[in-house]
Amino acid sequence: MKSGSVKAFFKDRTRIGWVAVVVLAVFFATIGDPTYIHLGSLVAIWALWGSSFNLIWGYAGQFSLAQVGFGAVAGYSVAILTARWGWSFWAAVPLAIALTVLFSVVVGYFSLRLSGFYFAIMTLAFALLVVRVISSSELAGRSTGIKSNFDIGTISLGPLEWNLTSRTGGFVLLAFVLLAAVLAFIGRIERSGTGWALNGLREDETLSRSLGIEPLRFRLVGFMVSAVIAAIGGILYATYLRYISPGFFGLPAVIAMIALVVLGGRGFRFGPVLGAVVYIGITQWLEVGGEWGDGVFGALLILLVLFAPKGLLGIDLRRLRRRAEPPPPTDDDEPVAARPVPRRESQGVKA
Amino acid sequence: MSSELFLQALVNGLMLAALYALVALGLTLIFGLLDVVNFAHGQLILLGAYVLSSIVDIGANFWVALPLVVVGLVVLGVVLDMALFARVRDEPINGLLISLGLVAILENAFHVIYGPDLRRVAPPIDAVIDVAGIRISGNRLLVIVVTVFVLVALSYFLRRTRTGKAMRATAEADEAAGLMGIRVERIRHIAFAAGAGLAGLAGVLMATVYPIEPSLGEGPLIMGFAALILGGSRSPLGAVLGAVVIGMVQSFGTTYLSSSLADVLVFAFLILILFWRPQGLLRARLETAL
Amino acid sequence: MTAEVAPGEVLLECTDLVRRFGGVAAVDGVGFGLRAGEVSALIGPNGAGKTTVFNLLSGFLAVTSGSITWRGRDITSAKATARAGSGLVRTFQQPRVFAALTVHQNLVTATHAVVPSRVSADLLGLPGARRRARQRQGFADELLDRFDLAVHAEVKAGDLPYGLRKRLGLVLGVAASPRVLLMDEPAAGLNDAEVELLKQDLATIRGSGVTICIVEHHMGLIMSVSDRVMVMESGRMIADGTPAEIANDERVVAAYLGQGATA
Repeated sequence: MKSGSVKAFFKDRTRIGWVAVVVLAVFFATIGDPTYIHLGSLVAIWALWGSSFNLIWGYAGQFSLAQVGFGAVAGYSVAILTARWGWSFWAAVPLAIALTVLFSVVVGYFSLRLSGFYFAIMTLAFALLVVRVISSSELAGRSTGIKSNFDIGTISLGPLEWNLTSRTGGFVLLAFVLLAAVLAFIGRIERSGTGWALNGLREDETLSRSLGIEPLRFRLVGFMVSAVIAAIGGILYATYLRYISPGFFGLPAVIAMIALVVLGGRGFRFGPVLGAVVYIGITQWLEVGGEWGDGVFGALLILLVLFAPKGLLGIDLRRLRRRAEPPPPTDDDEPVAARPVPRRESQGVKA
Repeated sequence: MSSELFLQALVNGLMLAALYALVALGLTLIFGLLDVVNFAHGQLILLGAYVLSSIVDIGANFWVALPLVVVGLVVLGVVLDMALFARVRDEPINGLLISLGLVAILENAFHVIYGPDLRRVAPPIDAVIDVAGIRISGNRLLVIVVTVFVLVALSYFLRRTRTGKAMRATAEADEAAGLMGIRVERIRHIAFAAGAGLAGLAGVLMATVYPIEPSLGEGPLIMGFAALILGGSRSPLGAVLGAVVIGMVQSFGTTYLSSSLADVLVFAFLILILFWRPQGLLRARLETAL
Repeated sequence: MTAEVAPGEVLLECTDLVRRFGGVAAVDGVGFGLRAGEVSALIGPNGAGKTTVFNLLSGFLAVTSGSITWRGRDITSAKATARAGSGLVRTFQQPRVFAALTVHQNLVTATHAVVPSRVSADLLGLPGARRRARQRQGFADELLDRFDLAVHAEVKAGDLPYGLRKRLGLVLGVAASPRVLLMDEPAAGLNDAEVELLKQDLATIRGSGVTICIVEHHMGLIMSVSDRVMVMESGRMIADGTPAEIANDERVVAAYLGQGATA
């Protein structure tokens, strides 16, 4: 079997992904410059949001636009509990996550029976409902928002002090540690029966049901887990910015989240990390195209959808290399895609 | 006094309904014929409004600018469909993703060119009409009148003309339509162009009533989607009825509660409708009527 | 995999099945039982209601009236997934496979009924989850060998030629560890060599103790593999007997064979 080489290849990719996450974390956390702390925090937070959407769409096949709403519920819960009611940050976080999961069950109950366009609009309606409820609530500071707790303390490890306060290197490290934990967790799901069930449902729901895979049960699990990930992202966002307002959670945030997952490669575990780096890199860091950064990002998204719809990680390098070589002389002008499978496989190994 | 408030809410509701109907019709044409959920529709509305303000700024008359904007958007619609959306027909989700890319590009362009400030277009009608004791701004009435005119024209187009019939046939069953000699791709270009033109018209009309600002298109986009779903998602008549329902809920909600709560009502209503009747309100009524 | 079932025990039984679409009864009072170890065929002209019967038995359609029992238990309103999980599995006329997954991944996914996922254990990474993941891989490897699919193991199912996709669809059903396997037109679209292979597969599946019921138009296949043939016409059962009896039944000849649908 050829599975050995293929598996080795994928193992390498996973390794590359982990190395990249560690390098990013060390780079952004130690450089100390406020600009880089800003960029690093945003990369980690957007990678978390992207991972949340990637899990529910890339893995489970549900185009859920509610993820930003989950982030808002969690972020606001922590902000209200700490700033208004004097809770400690670390007591507020578990409650906020629990509330978000509860909310995701409600959204899931209403939406998971729907498919395609209807599911997308239903979840979008929930996300926007959350924003409107927040903007009309005195408790949540209406449209101006409220301050959130940012001085979340220090962890002492013997002689080492880990300062978690927002806008420090320690905070960036915390964000990346949480991101790494989420990525490891998604990897665990990927290899488990639950992951296979989600894959199956994404590919063919009828076939999955005929094999005993219960759609609602597994999708609800996927939804709840994705809500937890979005909640972590939302709480970090509110903590990092030191305040929270409905403006963060509108349609533009939904769009950015989708775009960075597509860019990195839907269904690839490290896709959202790459997507977040490119997104923040283009719009905030390198400032590619100057004030046209968002436009450049949008154009990049369109180009990828047209020419590499599987995203950056989905680009088949071997095939690109093969295309770059002069075509072998053949009698027929058969396009590559139309060739029978075994030939394509053997070509891939040769190249 | 309260009856005056009621009538005011009614007129505002009708105006919102008119705007949402234009948007929802465009979305319905594009979704019905191309299977694309066009998130860029909000930006096309905004494009109509901004371009109108620019044309009026260089001294042109509103009534000259209006057809220019609509024609411009129709042309843009054809170009976008041929250059982008036609390439991903087999994967509808990719059409949605392309529309997201367009959102980012247009939003950025508006920000660079027009900035975050409010822009106002001098209202074309400088009159307030007094009907039975309530004062209605002529411009709001204009929105309603123009929309009714467009709806009648569109209905005639879809029912009576060759192209309109071909469009309905394609929406019904595109393969069969293709076999019958209808040039399906051309029909799809026309559908996208018509949708873009309707968005441009909605933008122009909005600019006569509201100041133009970067988030002007977001509300109508969302409410347009809501109207589309209420109407059963592929029926033009349903989309218009959905728009009336949503316009009224929003207007009366805003009058008697608050604008945020009105939106909450609309979304809650949409969620419940999607839950109980994913096929939409109208389809259900037609079924029982038949 | 297959549990201790007494040979001849009636595993699946349906009584007075009716299914209406609008005013039309696609299935109109059908009843029969499937005995353990038996290979039966359900034939009839197009539109006779055969696939609808399968959809009712497997839970993909709700019955209008009538009842279905599975090993003595009423399952008339049980979910399709619950039926599949208890060993009542069906395959599809169109070759359904997980197109973007490899053949091996397809089989791992299909082992869900054999090695059920415990969501909490999967999420928490308990040792049981890892053990079950290994069981799945092992079971999938075994099926690859048993049905000679190992050479295609790493090919994406959507890239397989039609005949192989159809075969994979069948093996996915087997991977769900059925006691009764309902096969909807397994020979449709296959060439002669592939039909021969299908006969072997049916023998293999039967040999492992699975009870088989086939909806099929391929009379050659039916006559050579079935113990029993049931004939439907216009939603009703018009004959039920051995292949020899059916071939000589006048009503059947008139209703079905006479129409030249023997291909």
